[in-house]
Amino acid sequence: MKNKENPYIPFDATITSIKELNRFSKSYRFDSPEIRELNYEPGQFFEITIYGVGQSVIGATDSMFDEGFELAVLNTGGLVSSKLHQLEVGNVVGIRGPFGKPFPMDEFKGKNMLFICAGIGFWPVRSAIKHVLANRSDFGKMNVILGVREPSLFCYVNEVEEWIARDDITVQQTVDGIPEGEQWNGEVGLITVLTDKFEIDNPEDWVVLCVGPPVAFKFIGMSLNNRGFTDDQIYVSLERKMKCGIGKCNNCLIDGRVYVCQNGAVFTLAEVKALPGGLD
Amino acid sequence: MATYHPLIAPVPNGEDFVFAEVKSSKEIAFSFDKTKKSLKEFLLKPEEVLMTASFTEGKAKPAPIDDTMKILFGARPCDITALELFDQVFSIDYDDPYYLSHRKNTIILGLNCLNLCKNGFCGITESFAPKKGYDIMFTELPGEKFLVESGSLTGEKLIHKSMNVEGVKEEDRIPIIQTFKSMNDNLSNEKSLAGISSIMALDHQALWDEYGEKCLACNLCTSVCPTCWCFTVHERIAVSADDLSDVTKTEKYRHWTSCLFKDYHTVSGGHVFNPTTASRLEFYYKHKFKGIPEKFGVLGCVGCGRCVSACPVGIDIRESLERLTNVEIDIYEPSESSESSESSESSDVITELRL
Amino acid sequence: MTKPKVGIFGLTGCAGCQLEILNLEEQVLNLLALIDVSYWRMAQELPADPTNLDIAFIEGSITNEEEIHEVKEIRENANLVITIGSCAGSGGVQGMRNIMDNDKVKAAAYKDLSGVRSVPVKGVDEVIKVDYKIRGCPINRDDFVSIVTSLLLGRQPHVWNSPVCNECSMQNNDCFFERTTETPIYRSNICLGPITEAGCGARCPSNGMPCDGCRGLTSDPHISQLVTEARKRGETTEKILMLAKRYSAGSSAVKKSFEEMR
Ligand code: SF4
Ligand code: SF4
Ligand code: SF4
Ligand code: SF4
Ligand code: SF4
Ligand code: FES
Repeated sequence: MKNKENPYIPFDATITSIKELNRFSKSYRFDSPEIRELNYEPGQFFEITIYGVGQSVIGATDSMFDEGFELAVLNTGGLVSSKLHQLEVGNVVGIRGPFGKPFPMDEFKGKNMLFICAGIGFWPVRSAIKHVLANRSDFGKMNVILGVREPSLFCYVNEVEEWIARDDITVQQTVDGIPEGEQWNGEVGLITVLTDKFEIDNPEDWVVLCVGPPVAFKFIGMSLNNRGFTDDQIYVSLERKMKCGIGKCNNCLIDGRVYVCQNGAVFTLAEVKALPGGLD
Repeated sequence: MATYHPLIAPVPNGEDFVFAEVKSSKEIAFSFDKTKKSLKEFLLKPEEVLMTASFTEGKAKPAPIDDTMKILFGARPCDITALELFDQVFSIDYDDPYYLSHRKNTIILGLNCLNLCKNGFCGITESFAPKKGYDIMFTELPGEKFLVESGSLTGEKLIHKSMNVEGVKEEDRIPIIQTFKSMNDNLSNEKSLAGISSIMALDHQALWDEYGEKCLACNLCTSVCPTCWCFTVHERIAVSADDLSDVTKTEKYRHWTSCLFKDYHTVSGGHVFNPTTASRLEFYYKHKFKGIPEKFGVLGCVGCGRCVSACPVGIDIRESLERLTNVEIDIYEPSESSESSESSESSDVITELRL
Repeated sequence: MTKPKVGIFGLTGCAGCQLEILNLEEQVLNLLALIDVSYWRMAQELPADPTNLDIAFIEGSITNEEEIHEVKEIRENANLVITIGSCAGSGGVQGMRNIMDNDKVKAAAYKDLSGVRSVPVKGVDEVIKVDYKIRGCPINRDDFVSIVTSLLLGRQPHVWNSPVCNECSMQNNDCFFERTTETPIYRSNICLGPITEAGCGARCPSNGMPCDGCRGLTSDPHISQLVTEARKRGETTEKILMLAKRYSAGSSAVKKSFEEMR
């Protein structure tokens, strides 16, 4: 990363465009000389500083093979995310990173890829999906499962439609429920309704990338185990409090010993299950 | 030209001793038990500005680091052992320029312990005889003399420039070796925390629950501890009631925090990872006795006993370790014989160190 | 930046917090340069227009029907409502009246009881929605300035979310709650630092007094643990609860957490 001599100092980046992803979320594109030289991999994350307001850790949403650099932000009502949602094109923020271990995409070459995205877990997984699409011939079959609480919360809808139109990806989507006034003709139910029944041949040829709330990992893991997947085929990404991103502040520790910012945030489900409190 | 540097040394403060800047050797407490707080506040500041920037334009600049050379006298062996951990923490993978600058610009003059201090148990944690981490280590000898050992080039230069040194006679060493040996024998003979890492992996829920009923989550234990370094980072507008001149100046700053606080485990969105005090105490012990040893190869406790003195509700790490490991930890009474005899000559040496 | 229109209102209290703002002296002028104070009864020369406000600051607690009506009106006229000090935040010291017998208090305070329409003492947020509370009794000037500048820049003010002990232990203070010797002779039987929200710079312990809890409870107050320890040191539960409620008896949330305790 930049500023190796002082790893706490972000570089400036200007917001070049803002897209509404759904009513709670927006995505931001940034530009700066540093960004043009950025080198990062799917699964890594950045820390975004709003000068004078605060800092927040956000997973990469994009892949290096894309133009520009994009981060997606959910407005949790917190100090930083609510302020981010007020920012406009042209505003300047600070960025540090990339941090953390990426998904080991090289190890996945030749495998069939299953992507399971629960809620905003889609964003970091999207980075990996784009990586696979950009290197499509390196990978086998490709399956994307998306689940959100209600239909209006789906993000990157046009992009997903393009994927659906392709014949080398299978996309399946489900919603937890349909509130009054919303339209949905697809599957209804928790994301496990899809993992329980999607078509697989030999589970051992597959790798699963799954991001969502940790409670979902439990159920998705169970469902996949029933389908013949082992926990070390399933890669997840964990969320913890992070203040430094570089293994100094301890805020991201799990069980007093595993640094999510350095040993993760990508772990296999097997690693997470062996970690007391990992699935909290 | 000789340069004189600020000298920080133990001074009496009520029943205790604290580190403070002294102007004359008369102020220094040579026979002090140990300072109430560890010396970490000089190296990892309780609060430190990391950078400044503009609210609208960014342009972050590292904050200037105060790097006046200081001399710190009276670091106890446990404190110095803890520096072995801190030095690793703040240089592994990424350098922390703030800590490293303070560290480089603080000359550490250690003072060996001839007796176990109140609440200390450095024998068990094997932190009473650090091999490095200091510039000079002093050991008091009978007959108003000090044994002086250098632990760095700076230390060696200092010794030769500022002290009237004689070669060490073997008979001078004997009492020290004996004292250490007896401390060693008494403390660490068959008593060690070697297996603690695997013990920590077991379930000790009853213990955590019991402590959780008492603990105030006040952080006094972690703030005095020489091996706790947790900090949090925030952004702020750099204004105060006395200076409102520029409302667009911002600062990124860090300050001490503690794993005993609920906020430490709370992520944006409100989820709390270790919601009970009991689970946070478990986290604390696991970090010290499993996490730190696994990552840094040293124990996360140097047996200084400061947390024992600090805890308002009497949670005692010696008791917890006894219950966890079945190793009995003796409580030592200071022996009568070794009332410190200050030699004004050697103490003057300390204030007149020059580079 | 257009100057936000600000009103400063006083209910029942000692006006000490407003004084603290006035005491900013020349700094207050700098601050006033950033805002347009259109209503402030205490600093009279200002024009008085309590409507269409961007920010309304309210000091003092609610003690009668008129004040209930007044705060509702303020709410309707302001975008942001910020309380100043513990009176407005959680009832303040006069909240102690709630703990005593209301009729007796009235009888002691007023000879002629007709026309007194006092109600139990309430923090402002018991009646209207409050956007932000500036804590303390009185408030801390730096705290006030940093919160106001934050709001001016459209930034949510920072909260510590940790106890006064966090700040106290970052300074060279002797802890009042520490056990000083093996046979306990305590410096103090009780210090409310462990259950009180930080942000004052540990003002009291730094000046030789235990924390009185004027900033109100943290988000994670270990009340039962504090009471247990203070009882061990010879205090009665009643006395501790009385002490701990001194600034917060006008807050129903605080009342509830203490009731659960018993
Ligand atoms: S845990 Fe306690 S005894 Fe161990 S180093 Fe820290 S303060 Fe000293
Ligand atoms: S995690 Fe807890 S025990 Fe470990 S360094 Fe931080 S405060 Fe100390
Ligand atoms: S000093 Fe004691 S009461 Fe305070 S946090 Fe530590 S263990 Fe808990
Ligand atoms: S606030 Fe009170 S209990 Fe907390 S550290 Fe300070 S003196 Fe001790
Ligand atoms: S130390 Fe306690 S009583 Fe004193 S100002 Fe701070 S919160 Fe209020
Ligand atoms: S975020 Fe600071 S150690 Fe991981």
